[in-house]
Amino acid sequence: MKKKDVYVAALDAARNRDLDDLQVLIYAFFSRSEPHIHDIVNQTLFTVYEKLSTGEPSILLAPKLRGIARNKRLQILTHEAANRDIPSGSDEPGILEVGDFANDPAAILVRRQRILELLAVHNQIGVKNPRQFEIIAAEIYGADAREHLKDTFGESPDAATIRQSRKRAHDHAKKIMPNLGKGDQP
Amino acid sequence: MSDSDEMNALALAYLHGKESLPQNIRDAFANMPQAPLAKIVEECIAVQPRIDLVPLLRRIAQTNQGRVEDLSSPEFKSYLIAECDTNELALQRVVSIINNFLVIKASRIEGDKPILIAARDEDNSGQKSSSMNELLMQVGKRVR
Repeated sequence: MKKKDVYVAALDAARNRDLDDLQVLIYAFFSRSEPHIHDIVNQTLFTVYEKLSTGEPSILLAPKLRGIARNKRLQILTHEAANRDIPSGSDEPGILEVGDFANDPAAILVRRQRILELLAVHNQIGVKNPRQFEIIAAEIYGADAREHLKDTFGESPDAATIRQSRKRAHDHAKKIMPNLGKGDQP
Repeated sequence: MSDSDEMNALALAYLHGKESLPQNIRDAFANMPQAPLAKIVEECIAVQPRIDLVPLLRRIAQTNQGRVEDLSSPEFKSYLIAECDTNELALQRVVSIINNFLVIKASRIEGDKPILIAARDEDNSGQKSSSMNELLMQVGKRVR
C-alpha cells in the first residue's frame, strides 16, 4: 500500500471516530527521544479535527500531516522558550526528528498490531507471574532487566536467575500465542 | 537502537499516549459535523428522489467529506471514483446535478411550486408551467 493511501485510510477512520491508526502514524513522525511527543500528537490531532470538520477531504489533507505535526512541535518549542525566557533564536526550529521506519507507515501499523498482541500475551503472563511479565516488559522497553526488577520489586536477581526467568516467560508466552517466538518481523 | 527496538518503543509510547488522549479530542471527533458536500448532496436527493443517480449520490454523501469546490480537484474526484465504485462519466453527471441544484437554490426558486416556461408550439399549445423539480429531472436525463 502506498504511503499516502495509509494516511488517507487513517484519516477516514478518524472521521469515523477511530483514532488509533492516525495516532500511531503521527507518533511515527518523531523519535522517541522527542520530549513533547504526547503534546505534539494531541495538538496535531486537534488541528486535524478542525480541518476534517470543515469537510477537507482526507486525500487532500494526507500530504499535509507531517507539516502540521512539524508546526505543532515548533509552536510548543517556541512557547517553552518564551516561558523559560530563552531567546527564541537559540533553538533550532525546523529540525524534525524522524525515525527511518517513518517512511513506511504501513509497516508501523503492522508493528503496532504485533505489539498489541504481545502486550495481550504479557498481560496474561502478568496475572500469574508478575516477575516474568516485568522481564519481558523490560525487553520491550529496552531497559536493563535487573534494574527494572529492582525498581519494580526491590529485588536484584543474578544474571542466571534472570536468564532462567526470561526463558520460562518466553516458553509460557509461546504456549499462549504460538507466533511470539517468530522474531521481530510480524 | 535498531529500527525494531525503536518501533517497539514508539508503539509503547503510542499505547501510553492512547491512554492519555484528552477527552476533549475524543469528544471532538465523536461529534464531527457533517461535511458541507454531504449536506448538499442529501438536500439534492430530497429534492430529486427519482433520478437514477440517487444510489451514487448516497454513496458520495456517506463518505462525509468534501466541499463543493473540492469537486474540481482531480485527486478528490479520483478518490470518489475509487471509494464509490463508479466512473468518471457518472461522477461528471453528479457534478452537473449538484451545480444545477446550487444554481436553483441560489435563485430561491422553490422546487415543487409551478414556474412559467416558454411555450414551444406555434399555436401556444405546449406546456406552460412546470415545477423546478420536474425540470431538474429532465436535465438529469439529458446530461449523459
